[in-house]
Amino acid sequence: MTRIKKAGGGDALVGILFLLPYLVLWLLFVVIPVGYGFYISLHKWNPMGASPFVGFDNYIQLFSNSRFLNALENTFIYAVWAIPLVLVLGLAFALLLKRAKVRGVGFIEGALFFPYLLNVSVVGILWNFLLDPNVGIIPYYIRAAGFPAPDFLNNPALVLPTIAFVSAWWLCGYRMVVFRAGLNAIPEELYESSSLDGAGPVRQFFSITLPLMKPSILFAAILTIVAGLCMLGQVLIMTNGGPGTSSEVLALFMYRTAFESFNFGQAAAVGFVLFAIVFLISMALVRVFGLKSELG
Amino acid sequence: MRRSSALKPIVKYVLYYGLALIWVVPIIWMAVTSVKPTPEVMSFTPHWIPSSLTLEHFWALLERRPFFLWLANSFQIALLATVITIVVTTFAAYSLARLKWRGRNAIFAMFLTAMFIPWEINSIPLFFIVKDMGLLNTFMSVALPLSALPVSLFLLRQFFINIPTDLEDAAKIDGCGHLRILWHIIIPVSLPAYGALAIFIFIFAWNEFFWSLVALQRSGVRTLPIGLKTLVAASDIQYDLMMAGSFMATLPALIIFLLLRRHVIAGISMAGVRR
Amino acid sequence: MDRRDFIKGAGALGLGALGGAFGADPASAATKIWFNTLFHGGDADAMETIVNNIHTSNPDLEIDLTQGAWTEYYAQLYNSVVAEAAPQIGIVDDFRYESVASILYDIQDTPAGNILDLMGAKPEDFAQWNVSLVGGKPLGIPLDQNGFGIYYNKDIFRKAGLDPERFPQSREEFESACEAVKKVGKIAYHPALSGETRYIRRAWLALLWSLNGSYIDNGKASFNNDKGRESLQYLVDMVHAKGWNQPGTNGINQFLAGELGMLQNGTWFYLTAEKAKIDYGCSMPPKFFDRQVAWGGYHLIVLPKQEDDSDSREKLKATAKFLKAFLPFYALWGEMGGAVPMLKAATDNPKLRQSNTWKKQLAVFSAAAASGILQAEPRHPKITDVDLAVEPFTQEAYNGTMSVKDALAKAEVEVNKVLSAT
Repeated sequence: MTRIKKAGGGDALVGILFLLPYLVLWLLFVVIPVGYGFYISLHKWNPMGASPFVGFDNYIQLFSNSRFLNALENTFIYAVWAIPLVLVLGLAFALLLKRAKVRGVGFIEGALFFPYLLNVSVVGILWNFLLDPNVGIIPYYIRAAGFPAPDFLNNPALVLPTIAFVSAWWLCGYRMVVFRAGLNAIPEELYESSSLDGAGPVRQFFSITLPLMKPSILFAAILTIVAGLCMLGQVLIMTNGGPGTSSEVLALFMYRTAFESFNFGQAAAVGFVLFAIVFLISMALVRVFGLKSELG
Repeated sequence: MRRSSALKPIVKYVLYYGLALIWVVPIIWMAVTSVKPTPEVMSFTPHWIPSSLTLEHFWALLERRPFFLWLANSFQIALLATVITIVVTTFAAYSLARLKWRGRNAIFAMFLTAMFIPWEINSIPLFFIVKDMGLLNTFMSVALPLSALPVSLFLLRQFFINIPTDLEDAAKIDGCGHLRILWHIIIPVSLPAYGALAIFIFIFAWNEFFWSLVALQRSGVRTLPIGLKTLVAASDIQYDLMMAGSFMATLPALIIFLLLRRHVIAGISMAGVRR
Repeated sequence: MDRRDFIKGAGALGLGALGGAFGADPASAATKIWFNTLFHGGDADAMETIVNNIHTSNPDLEIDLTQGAWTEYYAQLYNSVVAEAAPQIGIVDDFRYESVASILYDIQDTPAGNILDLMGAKPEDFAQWNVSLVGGKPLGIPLDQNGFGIYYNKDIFRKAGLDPERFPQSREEFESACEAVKKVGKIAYHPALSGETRYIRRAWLALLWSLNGSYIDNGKASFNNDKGRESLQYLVDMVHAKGWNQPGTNGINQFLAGELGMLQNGTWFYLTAEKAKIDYGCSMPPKFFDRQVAWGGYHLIVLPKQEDDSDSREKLKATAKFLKAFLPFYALWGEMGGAVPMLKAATDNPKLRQSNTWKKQLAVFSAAAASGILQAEPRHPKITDVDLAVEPFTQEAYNGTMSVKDALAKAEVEVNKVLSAT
């Protein structure tokens, strides 16, 4: 160690002072809201007057509310479609680009990444137009190919998978870039020596790439799960939860409960349940996958 | 024999460029639509080549909606968030990476755990907290929570930790204080990390939607994503206006990306691991 | 840039010149009031014109007008009151009126006094004053009565061998008109505007009312019966068995593309239809069942609650002045916005009666309003939640993914849950 130690941890004062601004912001906007949200959820919250304490009534009502249960189910349906799509496409594109022996790889990477730079309103509006049953080009070309065009956004069975595909188009470029960085960190010699041993690309993928990429893939998976479970923008713009409540996810249900029905106590309860689900799942996965070291 | 090398180069080119083209076709369609006469926009058959070019949708949009105000608001919020993030996390990362004090590892572990708190879903309590702070409908209401994202801290701390201590030690012997070490030694060698962080936070703030929808309700402070949402009108769906608005909202990103593609992608690949 | 800013800038320049001439500075004495509406399209243009006119003749009134219908309008209104940053004036639909009642002033009892008196107006001046009352107190001023009618493409009517000047009046006539339109390869009818969930529900409600059925009664859902099923089945048949259209389509797009024969749409569609340069007519829906009825609603001008201080009292007085100046513009509101103005003097206004709007559709809507064909939703503090509870099921039925019987049974359960919750 070359570090010179000052006597008795004398950096403590400076250390805490330097940390303080960030710590305050973090407490105020990340930690306190969790507790405050729970507090609100125990009240019949009325911003215009008295807010009586109601204990766990809001939670009891939630779990007997079919609309809430439906939103819970929808959230998981969306997640089950979107998360693998984003990860698999992201990884596939990263591998493709790594093996690409064509000119202009940077250009191709740019094209695949660019949708990520669009904001969610643009993505939603654009795909609503592309999928419009009358004037949309996707249904048009499906019909032109001689098939009946599915009513993507107005069919209860299709709407969430469709939104998941749109999300994958939007977001997988981001994962691709991150995975590419991971792939480039794998020493080329490993592939060369295994080639000499006669291993093909498929075997190389499973014997070298996948094991070495495993921590970062799992880490990306957790982050994608967190984002997927909290999805709001795409449904708010594209379907507003429809048809019926077929695409009403938890975040949208929470938003509507708060800002359409003005039932803030109930909405805070939804938020807390969603928080608990996301937090517990991600913590459990960190534990199960043994990603502690990855975090540091 | 590897299969990929058996493929004719031309086939490979077609495959790769075909994929890239498919991926951006929706954006091309948006651009084409925004300059087409309305009947062709609303036509039941696609018109890839407009019969005539028109800018009327852009003018109509600019007349009806304060587009440039949204743009300016988005820019200001993204800039604010980026600057505050950089200042605040520089000190915090230096404290956690380069200073020795009891409890710093425990605090860092706390930040790590909180990485998985999806802060947007706390929008109901946040709404009341921000309201009590008197920040509702201000740019700070969005910029400040974004500056508290743990991802920024991780990135800088990771970078700071890997800086060799030799220089710093020499400086310490010369009696330099922490501020001077930070300014003259740490920050200059960390510029790539700052570039990545700035790009990452700027894009993140530029596209923030969920919380902005709740916190920015006055028309004067709406950002681009929130403003564009007002185009999804109650009953008449005007795809011509929507495509013009979407295309205009995309242009800044497109131009910057064409100019700084390498830097943007490098920034994301460095910072994006944790988000 | 924003046209409004431009106009404001120009106005400020003009004021500066005036100030120089008279030695006073009226610009600094101007009271700024905020006015938020949920209008978009034609009615938004109408409101902007009116506000600009009022500002020109009352330079001391500076009005910051924010428009744009979006689903967040009511959230925004409510939140702004919570945040003590509310606009002085807002516009509210009658069916959302009671759900936001707690954030609105009783206009006869504000910190600045009785606004109606300050405006120099009386309840009798308005066509249906009762609309403004919640619990006996007026929380707003009736602006207009709006509602659905059927817009039809006269070119398609001609092509189909129908009389373009006479819209079908009976159900049989209407149905044969639909078949005729179908025969010439066009889409016959869209009952629900853009096809959004709330429009589907409203289209069904009108059919239910036509059967003399009811939506809620005595604090309970009252639609899960033969009348409910018959009316909803008829709506579903339109887009399935009868093939007049398909579920999931946007009737407005179809109509503007010249592909749709008949479209049910609101009073506010007037300007859009005009701009599309389609030769169209407008009529009330035919008498589908026992009585002729169309979905209707009202817009009310409301005053959201403010933090009580001298500044806000000044602003309330300025608001009263603005509203007083607004009264003569009710006729223009009808002419440009297409809805039936609720001020008695306005409907008799000769200029309005000679306008193109009157000829094209307002005469139809005005007569429908007077004869009670336009029917509003029942008033209830929880009507918004009731509507939200019903809409998923009416839409599923409309889409054909749930039977009419199941949809209404499930909707009834949800509605009763909403209505019984405290």
